[in-house]
Amino acid sequence: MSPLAFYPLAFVCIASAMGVVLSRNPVRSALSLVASLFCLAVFYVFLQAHLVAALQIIVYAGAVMVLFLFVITLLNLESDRGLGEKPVLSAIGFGAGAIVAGGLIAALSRTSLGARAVTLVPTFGTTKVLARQLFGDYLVAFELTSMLLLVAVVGAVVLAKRDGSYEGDEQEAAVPARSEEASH
Amino acid sequence: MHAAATEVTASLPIAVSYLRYIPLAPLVGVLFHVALGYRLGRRAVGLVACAAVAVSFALAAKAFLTVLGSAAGTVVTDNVYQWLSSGEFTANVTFSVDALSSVMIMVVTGVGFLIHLYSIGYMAHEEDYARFFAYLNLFTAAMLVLVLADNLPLMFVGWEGVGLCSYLLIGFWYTDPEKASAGKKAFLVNRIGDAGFVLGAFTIFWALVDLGQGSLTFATINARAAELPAWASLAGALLLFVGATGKSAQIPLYVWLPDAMAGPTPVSALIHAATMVTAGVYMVARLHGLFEAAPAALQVVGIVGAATALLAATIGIAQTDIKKVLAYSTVSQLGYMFLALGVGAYGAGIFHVMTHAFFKALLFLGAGSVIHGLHDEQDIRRMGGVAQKMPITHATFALGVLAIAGVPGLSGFFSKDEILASAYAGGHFGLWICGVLGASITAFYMTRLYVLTFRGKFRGDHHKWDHAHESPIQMTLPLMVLAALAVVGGYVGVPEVLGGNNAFAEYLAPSVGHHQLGLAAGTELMLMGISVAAALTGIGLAWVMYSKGPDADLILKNKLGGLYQQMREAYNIDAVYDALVVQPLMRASDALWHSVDVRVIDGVANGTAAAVNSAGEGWRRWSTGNVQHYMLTVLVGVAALILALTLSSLIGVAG
Amino acid sequence: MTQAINSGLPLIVACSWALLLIVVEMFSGDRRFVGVAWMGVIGLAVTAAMSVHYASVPAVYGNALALDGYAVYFNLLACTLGAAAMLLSIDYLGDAGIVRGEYYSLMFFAVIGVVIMAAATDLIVMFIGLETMSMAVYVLAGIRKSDLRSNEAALKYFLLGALASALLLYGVALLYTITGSTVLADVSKALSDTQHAGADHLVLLLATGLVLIGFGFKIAAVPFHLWAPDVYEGAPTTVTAFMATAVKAGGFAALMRTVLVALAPMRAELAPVLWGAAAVTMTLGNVVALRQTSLKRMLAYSSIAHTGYLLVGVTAGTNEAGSSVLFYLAAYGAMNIGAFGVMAALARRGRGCEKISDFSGLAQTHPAMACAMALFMLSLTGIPPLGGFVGKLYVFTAAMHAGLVWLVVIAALNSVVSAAYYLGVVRTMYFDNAPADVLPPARPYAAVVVAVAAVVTILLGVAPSPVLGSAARAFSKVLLG
Repeated sequence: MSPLAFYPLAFVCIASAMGVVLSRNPVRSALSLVASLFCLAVFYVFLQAHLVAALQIIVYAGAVMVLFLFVITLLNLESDRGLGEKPVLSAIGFGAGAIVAGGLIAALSRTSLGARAVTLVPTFGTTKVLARQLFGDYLVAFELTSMLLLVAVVGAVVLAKRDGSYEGDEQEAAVPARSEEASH
Repeated sequence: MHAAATEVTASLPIAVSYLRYIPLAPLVGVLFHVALGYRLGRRAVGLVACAAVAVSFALAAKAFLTVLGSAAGTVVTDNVYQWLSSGEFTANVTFSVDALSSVMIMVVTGVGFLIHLYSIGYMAHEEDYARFFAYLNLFTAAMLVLVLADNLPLMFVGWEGVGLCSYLLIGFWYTDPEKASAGKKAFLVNRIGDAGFVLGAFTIFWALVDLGQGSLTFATINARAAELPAWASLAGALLLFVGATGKSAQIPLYVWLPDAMAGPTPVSALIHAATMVTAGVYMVARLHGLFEAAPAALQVVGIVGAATALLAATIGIAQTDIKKVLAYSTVSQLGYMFLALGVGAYGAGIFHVMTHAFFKALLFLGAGSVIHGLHDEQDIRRMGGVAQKMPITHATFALGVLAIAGVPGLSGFFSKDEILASAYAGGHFGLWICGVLGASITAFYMTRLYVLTFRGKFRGDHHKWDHAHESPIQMTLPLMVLAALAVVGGYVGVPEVLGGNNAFAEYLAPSVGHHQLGLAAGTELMLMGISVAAALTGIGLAWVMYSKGPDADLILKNKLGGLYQQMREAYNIDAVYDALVVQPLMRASDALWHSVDVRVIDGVANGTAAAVNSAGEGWRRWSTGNVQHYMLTVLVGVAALILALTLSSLIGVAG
Repeated sequence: MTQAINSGLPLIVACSWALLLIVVEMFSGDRRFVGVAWMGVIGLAVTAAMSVHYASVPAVYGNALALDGYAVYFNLLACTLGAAAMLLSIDYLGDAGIVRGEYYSLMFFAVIGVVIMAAATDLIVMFIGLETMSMAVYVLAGIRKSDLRSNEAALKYFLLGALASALLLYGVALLYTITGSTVLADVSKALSDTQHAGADHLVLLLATGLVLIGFGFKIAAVPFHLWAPDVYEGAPTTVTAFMATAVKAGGFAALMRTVLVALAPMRAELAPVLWGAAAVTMTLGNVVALRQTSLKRMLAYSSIAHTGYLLVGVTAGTNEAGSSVLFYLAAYGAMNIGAFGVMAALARRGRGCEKISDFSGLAQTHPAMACAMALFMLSLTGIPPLGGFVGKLYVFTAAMHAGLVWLVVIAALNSVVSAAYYLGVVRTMYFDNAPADVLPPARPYAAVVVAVAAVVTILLGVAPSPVLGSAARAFSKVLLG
């Protein structure tokens, strides 16, 4: 991938990622995330991973982000306060963040990765090869992921569904008297 | 320096399977009290409790007679099962009785039985009778495990057990918060000692593993101690001694024992005389091989013992609570025992353990009888003339006082004299001086206690005087038996210079070696004379001063000035500990909690959740602070970890 | 191939069973869900039995999972703890206003997560296990929806857990970039080859640190412990019982495999960091626990302190230390399930049972419960001859053997401090007077669980050999080379 394409794209990607974090407005944050995900998808394309790039756009930039925005607008979330009111904490946060970022930059800029020559097989990134990997070497991980998603769905339903006894609970809780009948 | 002859006869084991029932019998008693005690009533509880200890006593006597009747060096062992085993580390549940432990089990079960018997009468009006006897039996069982154990880990089971039971028993009258906190203090101070015990055991274990011996039996430790590296034996011995100072109430961990008076009097007797406090002395004697391999540690033992003996005695002068006086006298007498161990006279130390068990149990039970008779009066300034109302208690108590003071012919005289002679013979002149001074002071404050309690006129409330009465037979019978023992108990160890053959020391020799005094008869008699003179001076002085009543304290107060106040307040050691240890710890706890955790978490958990009505608003609160603070902490943690890893890698590269 | 399928069978059966639970729950007419709970317990028993039956050493399915001794040990532990938590929950849930049958299937899934974490020999699979467990527990923590504290606990746990997971995943990604593999053994091999290629060293350090943080969060090691007191307090008591025991066991299962196998070549750099984490974690946990008035928070800090003790074993990293950690987790599980069990057994709506002072005079009103609670407290303190003592003894002995003398000294001093607050509970139960408003009688199911936990706590102290032996066997083949 040519540096001419890489650096501008990388800049946009990082800038929009920072936009997600720094923006006080939730809608703006979400839109920045979309931009960032798009940039990533472009990287995948450059890396010959076409299928992943497509999935990235369809699933994340598309479906997931739509849901995000939907929820944000539905709940009418307002802008949020940060740690701002305590400058000491902000300073600590910046300091620690700087150390982590500095460590990462220092570490990644020194790796031997650049020196490693990688030759890709012609079929790299095709659906067929990806499928072989996914349903071969990583079958267990793949299957277990589906279970993980199921757990997440069940959990989401449990938390979202209105309890039949919710109202009643509130009332009972307000009365300090013991409620024996519930346990028998 | 050390005249102790360490040639311990090779042990001749006799395998039996009845030793396990010695601690098991009281344990069964515990189960009985817990399960059936409340249903079957007081008589059954008292009967079972005493019977359980009686069974232990009978079996202990059997073991004792076996050891006594067999060749020197016989050890009766009962290997129950392998308890712990992993890698190089093994520990068995094995009980063994040799000369040393046979003496101990006889004392524990014998005196323990009398105390149980006494408790039937003393606790007769107590509501929670079954619970009390359950603890009492459990205490006895734990002490028996401690004494019978043939290895350090098993000993630690008993060691912690007695600590726990003392906590339960001291706090028995739980309606009084002061008493409950005294129990807690006893347990915590003991835990500090226990940490020393554990670390000492670890040290020795790994030093032994280096010698290819992954075992912590006493036989192994004593046999191989000489081969251990010097640092290991020294560190191990000192750490174990820290444990001993906790259990046996020596400087710097003696602070719990005086507070332990909060418990019912029979409990005090059990703790002070027959069980708990002698554990440290027993442990050091048990591991005499290790301590001899580390002479510096032994020196520390001796110095701490002498210092404690003297310090506690001076505190005893200024106390006004009958039980507090006895408590400090226990601390002081334990000091003598450690003094003996420190100069290598293990036999003399154990001899004093035994005689002390007799007269201290007697004194405590006597004090209990007085307290019982005077309806819970404990202040000796409000007693006096009790002799008229309680003749048996008076007579037996007087014998106890004479014994502890070291009046010739009574048990305390023989054992204390042997200790002092050993100190002198070993060239520990300073320790000897401390001992003689302490003996004189002991005689003084014990006489003060006796005179103020039993002589003169009653100074308290007339109602109490009118209702004062002699205690029932369950209480006076143990007093009489103990008084007899306090008188004659010393005759098993009459020194050669007085025409005896010191049979007690001979009997113990296979376990702890024979300590040769190596003194000329004249010197020995002279030493004896000095200590008797010291004791008689103390007795005489106190008698003259306190016959006029407790106001004689003022004379001391004027003479000693500020020092007297310090003595009365036990040198404020508690306050020092509080300021140096407890408060900093509590402050640290609060600081850590408030600075990090509370501000981050608690604000929401306690305050806000109650104030917020709707979930939506609640969500806003969470999202605007606490979780962010959390994440900040995580971020700082990440940064710190990265720095730490880089640092450790740099050091690794450099090193 | 058959063997491969066989060793995967327990997991397959467990997943199917959990799905079945969801379905059964829908048709359950019983609002107490006793049948569902029992079905969950039976399912866990079946899973445990099958994992013992099909145990095999080699990794299966592309080196992703191994049903080796280590996995089987944690399987049994997690299934037992999960079953205990389920039995505790019967009747507790209804009283706490939780009428959700999904509760049991979620708990089942959480156990499956632990099982996967212990059996995983691949970092990705391990991560999925961790997420499965976490996801289920996030929801369980917040399942009492009418209670703000429960909601808050769940949300906090979720947000911070997500952060920790992200860091962990980033660490795994970095490891993969350098070593080209996520399989533990391969990572280890690649690391020992590239270890001294200076250029990659810093990245590896970073990756190691990030992985440590991910697991450190789950086991509540300082400074990633802050969630624990809050979440323990806010979550329903039965869920807290599960979190304190099974979730922690899962965290340690994954942490030990990762640190001692995959990251073994990084030992020199890791050891000082683990040392420090162990020392700071146990000290902070114990010191802060001193001043707690809520029993749940106190136990949360106590659980942080115990993480510190366990980290001592991980720091030592020998065979002996590893097996001692396994044993400790079992003993710790028994006594903590018991302690939380007592709380769950007595808790009633509108009648707090979470403050230490709520247990005043328990010895008079509930002698058996008080006795059991005292036993658990003493075991947590490390009083012989109880399970906690033997666990500590083994961990410290192993650490001493590995030369961690000062760490053991710190640990011993810590256990002195800890006696103060554990004893506070005993004192309150035995030496304080019972309030006029006496706690209700213990729930029968919970009482049985507490009784079993008490017996196990005693047995692990008096006759630890069988469990100790199986822990030693379980760990014997984990370390490479």
